[in-house]
Amino acid sequence: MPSGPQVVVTGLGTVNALAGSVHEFATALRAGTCAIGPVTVFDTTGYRSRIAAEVPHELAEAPSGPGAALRRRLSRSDVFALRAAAEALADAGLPGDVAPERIGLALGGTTGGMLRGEASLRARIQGTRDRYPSAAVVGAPISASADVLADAFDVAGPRLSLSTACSSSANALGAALDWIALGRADVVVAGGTESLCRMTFAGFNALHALSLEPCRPFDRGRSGLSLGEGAAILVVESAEHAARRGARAHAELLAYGNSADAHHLTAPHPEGTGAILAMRRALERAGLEPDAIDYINAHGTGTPLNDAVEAAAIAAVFGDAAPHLAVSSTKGAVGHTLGAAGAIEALATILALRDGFLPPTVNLDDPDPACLLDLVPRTSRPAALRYALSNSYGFGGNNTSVVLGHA
Amino acid sequence: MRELPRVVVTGLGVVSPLGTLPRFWEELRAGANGFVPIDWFDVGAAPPATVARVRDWQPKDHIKPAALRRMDRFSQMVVGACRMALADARLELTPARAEETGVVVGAAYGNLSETEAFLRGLIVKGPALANPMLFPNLVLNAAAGYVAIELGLRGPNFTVCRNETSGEAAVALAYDTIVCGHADVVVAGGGDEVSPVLFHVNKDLGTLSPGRRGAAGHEWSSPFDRDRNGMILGEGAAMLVLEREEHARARGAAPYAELAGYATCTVPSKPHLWPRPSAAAPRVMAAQLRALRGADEIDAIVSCANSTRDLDAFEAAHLAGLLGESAGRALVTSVKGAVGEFGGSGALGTAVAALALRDGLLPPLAALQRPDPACTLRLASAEVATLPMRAALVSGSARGGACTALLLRQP
Repeated sequence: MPSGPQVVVTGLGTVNALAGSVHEFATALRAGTCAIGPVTVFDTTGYRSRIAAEVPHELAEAPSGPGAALRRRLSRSDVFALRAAAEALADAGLPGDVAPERIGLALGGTTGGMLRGEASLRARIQGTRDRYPSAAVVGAPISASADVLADAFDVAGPRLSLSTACSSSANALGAALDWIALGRADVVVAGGTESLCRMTFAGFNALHALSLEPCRPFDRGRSGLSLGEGAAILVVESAEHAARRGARAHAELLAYGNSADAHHLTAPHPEGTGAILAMRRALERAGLEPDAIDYINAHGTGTPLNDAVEAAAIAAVFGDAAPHLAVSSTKGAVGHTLGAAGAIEALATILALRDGFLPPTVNLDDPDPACLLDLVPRTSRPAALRYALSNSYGFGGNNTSVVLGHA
Repeated sequence: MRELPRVVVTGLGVVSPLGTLPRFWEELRAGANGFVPIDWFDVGAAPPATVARVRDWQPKDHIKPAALRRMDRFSQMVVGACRMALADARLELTPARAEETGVVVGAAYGNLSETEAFLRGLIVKGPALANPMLFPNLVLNAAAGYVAIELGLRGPNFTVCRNETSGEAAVALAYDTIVCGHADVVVAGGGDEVSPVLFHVNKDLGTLSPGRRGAAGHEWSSPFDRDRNGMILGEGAAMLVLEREEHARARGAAPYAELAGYATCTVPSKPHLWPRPSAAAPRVMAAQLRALRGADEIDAIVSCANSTRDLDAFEAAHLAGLLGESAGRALVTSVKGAVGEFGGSGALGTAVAALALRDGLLPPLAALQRPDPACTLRLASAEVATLPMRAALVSGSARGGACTALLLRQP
């Protein structure tokens, strides 16, 4: 591989249960706020768990401005993506004089417009409607949100929707990095979007993976995950391109590494071999030794198995340094946003690097002694960080690690 | 930037409505199609009532029984196609090689039939009885995960979704994955499955052919035909072994073709519609294509034309614009008159391009009777054409305006 150009992140945007903007998100992360509460977007009668990190109602309404013409067709995921992209593009000063065909779009997600598809299927089964409403289903594929963004913001470069379960949007950042390196685009709008829906809620519920209380990543008493929703969009470009157009860099995006466990569709490999491979691949491509990493934003779902395996994998990669390495999970604050998690957590990592703090592991009271790391329980701490890793693991045995650096 | 490593196609695996390889290729050349009447779900009173269906392949020949029981039908097709592709490539998967071998699957909807079954159970029986065994199969990347598990592949593992061009997008991402040095070998392609919901939605939207004019009751897919009136849905999976050329040469593999690269862009389009002809072939995409090795030697085109009024009109303008003066030279075909339209049809088209380069012939547009006079392309008539076959283009455009053109050439 040609050693690629230096790549930076020049625009940030998010909507999630904690925040309707990046500024609010940074504030809430520092404060250690938990946004997990009762689910209201659908009826949770009959579920074991009835909580999630839900985006406030007003932020799930179709925005005015770009995309408004499509209002009737927009799914909840589309709305999150539109809002986050509008913020990120404005932050990056785009489009400015960047040609639309030089702007790419790489988006991760796992359920698209499922929430509305479910409602129409219910109507059909219960006989209130005898047809599949086509608009709802045509809006359901995972690629729909990228189609909506391209139409709303006049993005005419390469376009891809990645769906690798909970690592989807981390891999979207990887695609962005490779596109910049290959010159396929000058700027890539990259991230992920996901909305709560009955399918994932019922699925994790049936697998007994949902926690009855807000999730407690890495806690000795952790008992499962809390689902979340939202979007995060990052604007990615070469440092040279950013400098030429006078754009400010929030952080550097150095590399990513991906691997497959080749073990089981839902359970991580017990020794974390895939997670280890992904972290090592990412570090090697970034040209960094493990000791250069100051912080890891963990996948840290709060399920007993995930957190134990991830901690063991980190210990394997970082060796003697692991017990003192700051590792935290954002999922105690914003829940597990599945296809958006990689992007939302990369954003949290960027804010940590930029603003000089360690985001806490919210709801962590009793660190699991088997996870021998500095887990930043409950409260954020100031820290000057140079390089950080963001881990994302998904169904299918998919592992992605992204290396980010202080700008 | 240094010159990029070359990428070659060294293996093909196909599970299609026309069977697996080599039968698929023989049937396609003979002008057969895989269309059958739907008799496994309620289609309503009026036509259309036809899809291209994968019927006579034996998943158990390719997948162990214990794994087969867990696996959904879509994943079975993808895993089967991957296993056939790797066998075709004669790639011995040593542990070291398996660690450096990736997987990229493209699918528009994937396992929609089990998704509907899961939701139906949830709605009818309630959440306490939701089937936990089904849920893991509902993520779009379940098929790629199963491929990794069944074949032990631990390299990069991606699943991409881009409507009808998910297959082309997967091959393109696999190309980037190899040239960026993330993997030496990537098994790439795509697939999709016919499901009741997809059929009904497309029927409601009026995108399916209601039958050939004057011949009641028989749906008809005839890309680029003057009288075309809609597509027929299809299904299947096609996977290609893509390999860094040096890696292939070192192990003595005989490639079908070189994947010289791709051109891609997004053209203006509403998210749920095919783009208009006026949006076709932006200069930037034509320039990307011209920069590829073999772009001035395109003798054949496997087009995405699917027999809808809109996409075929766009595609005719798009290819004419992309290729400029040489558009009249290349012979154009499409597989969708034989296997229908689905998210992995572009992967199947890529396999067809590789086979066409190997054999020096292009399968015909078998149903074509009256070429659309608005289409100035040189359409492959009912005869299988033998021609000098230096390079072949696979052109894909999707609802929502994403376009990708893959260029394959003699290895």
